[in-house]
Amino acid sequence: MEDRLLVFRCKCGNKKALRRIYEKYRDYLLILAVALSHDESFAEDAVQDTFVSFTEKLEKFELTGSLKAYLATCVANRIRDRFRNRQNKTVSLEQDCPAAFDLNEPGRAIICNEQLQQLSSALAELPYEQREVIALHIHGRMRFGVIAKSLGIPASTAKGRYRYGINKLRSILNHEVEK
Amino acid sequence: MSAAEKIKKLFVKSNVTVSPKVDDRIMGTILRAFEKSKNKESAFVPNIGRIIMKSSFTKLAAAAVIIIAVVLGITIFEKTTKPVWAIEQTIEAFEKVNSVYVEEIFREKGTLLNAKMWARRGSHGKFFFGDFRQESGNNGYTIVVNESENRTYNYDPSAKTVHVYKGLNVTIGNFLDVDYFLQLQQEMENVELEYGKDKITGKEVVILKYKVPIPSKYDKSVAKSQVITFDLETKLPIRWTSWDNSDFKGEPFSEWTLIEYNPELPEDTFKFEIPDGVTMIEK
Repeated sequence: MEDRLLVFRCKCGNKKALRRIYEKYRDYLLILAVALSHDESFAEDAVQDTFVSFTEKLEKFELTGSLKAYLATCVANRIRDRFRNRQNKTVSLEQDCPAAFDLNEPGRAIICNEQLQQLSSALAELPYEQREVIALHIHGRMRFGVIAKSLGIPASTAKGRYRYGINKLRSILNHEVEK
Repeated sequence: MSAAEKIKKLFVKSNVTVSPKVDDRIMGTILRAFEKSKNKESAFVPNIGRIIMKSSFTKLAAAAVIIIAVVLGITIFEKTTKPVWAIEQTIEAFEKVNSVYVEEIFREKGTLLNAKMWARRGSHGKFFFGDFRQESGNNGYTIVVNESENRTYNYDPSAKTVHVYKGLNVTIGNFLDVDYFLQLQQEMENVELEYGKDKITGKEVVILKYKVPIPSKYDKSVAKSQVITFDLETKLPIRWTSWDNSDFKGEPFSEWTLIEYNPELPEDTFKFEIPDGVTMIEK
């Protein structure tokens, strides 16, 4: 209910309410974005773009479900679009491969802890479609039906992507433990 | 541990640290977009003007339209000067309310009773389970809820007893809560609105008839239908009538006949003074 009130206040022009929404969901969305993109500057852009877009649409925005899920879906959509754009460009494999980014690099503006780095590295081994469903289902706590609707795919496809992704992660994670 | 559980655990333990510089940059961009979207509407106005004024014919036509609009506007304005009400205005006004005084008439087992109530927002920012005092005009039965003491006192003058409960056990009700108005906001398509003059106070009011949806997590009382009278000037409710049926039928079981907002409350309003000769019973 707090979110409805915050959205209402934002619509009335209250900057504090907008700041509160940002502060409330910033970390949650950044974790999702880093996990999906394996690139913190990419993640930062996606979160920023999501909030800017949300702000621009505020006048006509109607909160029908969860604001958290709405923002999470927006972040996932933005990252997907960025990945598609990257794939369409002819760039070298080193530049294009998300796994090539070093989240541990010193001097970065967003510092990810060890677990997030491990998570992000593991998910980077999966096709984007699978990691998206896994992240939204586990981190976003969204049901497959809701994920499917937001992605415009059948629920069975969302479930299938999740199952394939988890199976693949099993071997990736086991392999890491063995190492 | 399954792969899904491992991933879940990693997500739970994941953490990011954002530098203040990045935070400021992102927030700055968001606020600029916010300002821009607010000014968007006014930015269109000069463009429309320029388009209209390009030819002399449109200049004349525009002038004629403006004159007609002004004449019509004045005529209509004279007939409709009553302020319009929206639930959002009540929500906004209610946020500035920190204390209330309410006079209530209610029916209990067929008997008509009356009570006076005082309430103050609690430390959690809500009236729900904050400081509260209720005095019955019929039998002197008094309830005092003191948040700082975390105690509820029930004084029964006929039995000469005071039952003292640990915790805040009685509340003014959940009507006085932003959540309640937000619930109403969701139900606005299903309510009846009637504008008019209040017979008792003479104020311009809007009367809202509302069938409480069942089940409602916002209203656990027996109220099934309600009529709320809003003052069009302050946007706040001045009367509240509740029925235990969903058709506004028969005698209402509760009527808040007077609601005063932000009254000055003496410090001892929510302090329970132990009357002489009573038996204190700790519960």
